[in-house]
Amino acid sequence: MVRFIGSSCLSPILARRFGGWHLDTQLGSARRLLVVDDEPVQCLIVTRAMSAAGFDADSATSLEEAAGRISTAAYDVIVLDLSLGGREGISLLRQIAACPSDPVVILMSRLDERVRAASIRYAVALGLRVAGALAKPVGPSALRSLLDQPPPQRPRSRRVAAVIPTAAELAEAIDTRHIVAAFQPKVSLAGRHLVGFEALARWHHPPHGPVPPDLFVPLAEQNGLIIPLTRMILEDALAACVRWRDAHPDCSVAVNISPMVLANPALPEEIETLLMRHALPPAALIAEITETTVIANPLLAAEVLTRLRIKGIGLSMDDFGTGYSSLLTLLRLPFTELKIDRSFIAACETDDEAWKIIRATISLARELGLSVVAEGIETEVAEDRLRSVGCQIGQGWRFGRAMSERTLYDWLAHRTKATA
Amino acid sequence: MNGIASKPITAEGLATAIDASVSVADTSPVLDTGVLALLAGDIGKDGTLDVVRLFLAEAPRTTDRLQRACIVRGAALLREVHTLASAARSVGLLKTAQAAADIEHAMANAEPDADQLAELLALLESGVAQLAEWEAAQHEATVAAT
Repeated sequence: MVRFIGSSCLSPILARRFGGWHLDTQLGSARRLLVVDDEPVQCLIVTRAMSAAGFDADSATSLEEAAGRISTAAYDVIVLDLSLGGREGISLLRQIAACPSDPVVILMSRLDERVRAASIRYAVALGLRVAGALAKPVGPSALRSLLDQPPPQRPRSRRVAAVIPTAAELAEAIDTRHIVAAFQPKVSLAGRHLVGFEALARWHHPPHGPVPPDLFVPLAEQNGLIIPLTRMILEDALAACVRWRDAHPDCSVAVNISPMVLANPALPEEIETLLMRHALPPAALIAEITETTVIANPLLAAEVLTRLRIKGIGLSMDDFGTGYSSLLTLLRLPFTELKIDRSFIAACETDDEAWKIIRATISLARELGLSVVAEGIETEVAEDRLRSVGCQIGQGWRFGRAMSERTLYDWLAHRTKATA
Repeated sequence: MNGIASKPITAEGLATAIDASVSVADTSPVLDTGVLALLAGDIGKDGTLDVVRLFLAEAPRTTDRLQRACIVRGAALLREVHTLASAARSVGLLKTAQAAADIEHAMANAEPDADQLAELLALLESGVAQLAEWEAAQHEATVAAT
């Protein structure tokens, strides 16, 4: 669970569920905490404040010192400055991820919220339990209020890859096409007919096997590799779309568009050229945008997205409900589709409040003339409930996992046979 | 009224409120000992003394780095003024902190002028002197008490 102080983005559902975080009673002994910050005055203040709060607090003011301490002591909490002499703070996260004590991590940075958000995603993808990211200077009360929260859960995708990839390996994997597009079906809930696929990047690392996208996508974003990666997925997706449209002429393909890609003013023309090359109408493509993407660069994003829409390309707001300012983003940008985040769908059978939010979201989308996609549908109950309140499109394991293009044709053939 | 600090009052909450108000005027003291008193509420008197002593011990290096950064400008200067703003604010040198923060904000659009940098260095120097006096007084008080 991730939380910003000053600009809270704690998921309301999960925030409501937890009580306070009282490690004292959980562990019974003094909790060990390490503060890693190369600004000595700040480091001392945080260390002393945490000592006063009952922690057995150590400090380190350099990367080497921190690495040494982490390798010799088992910490319960590590407070880490990301800007530790450039990018090095982030490199320490890998070492922390390998710690058997499974410490909770609190990040600090003087850089803006977007960098903090990307760092959190990277840390979570490494399998770390991240309590939050604080803007520097970090005051004792901000830290204490973070520690008053319940301990963050282990990320759902703790199936961490055996080897954590480097940026160089990622670049090579893009070049050598070890990263490919996989396709997850989107079906209409009313008639269960196919409406399209979402293209998702999948990396099969030759010796180590699959690398989770929540690990390599943030890595690509941090290293500028998201641009060639998106281009490759876009090419694959459009080429595949041409092939399946022979039998399914109205099927579209959705591609995730990341912040740095969206910052390219020539993107609409580049995409238009690609569509023309594949002889596809613009409506065959849906650009999926996450809310944070849009907010990171609002003016340029608004321009690029509006131009994409003018050209006839569909715009989908991904992960709706998990970001912030989503309603403002909906107001400002010409979206055609809204995807309700899977965390709401997962909770819809057990959490009445989640269900109310889903219903309100569907009603909102209807008012705005947007189609609604529910992501992460896994059960018949969820499917039925969503259909009953007018959700038009579903996506999730209940209908089909992300699959290679070849498997996709088998899946299509099987469906045709089943409905024949 | 120039700012709001939410209750319960903490050192950094108050410092932020003071920072946000425009009235860190020339009449305000170089060293605001109220900030130190609030910090003592958070981390104890001894902790506060340790923080002040660390700031003083680092001061020659801080000044040296700042002077060098004033020559090379750019990212090095931005980093120094940012670090100084937060460290100075933590120990109650609010005018120094404000001057550093002003330069940091101004650097979003333009390089700071030489007068601004000279003022910051002067404020740092007088701040360090006052903080050293405060530390000496605290030390004497402690010795007298024992």
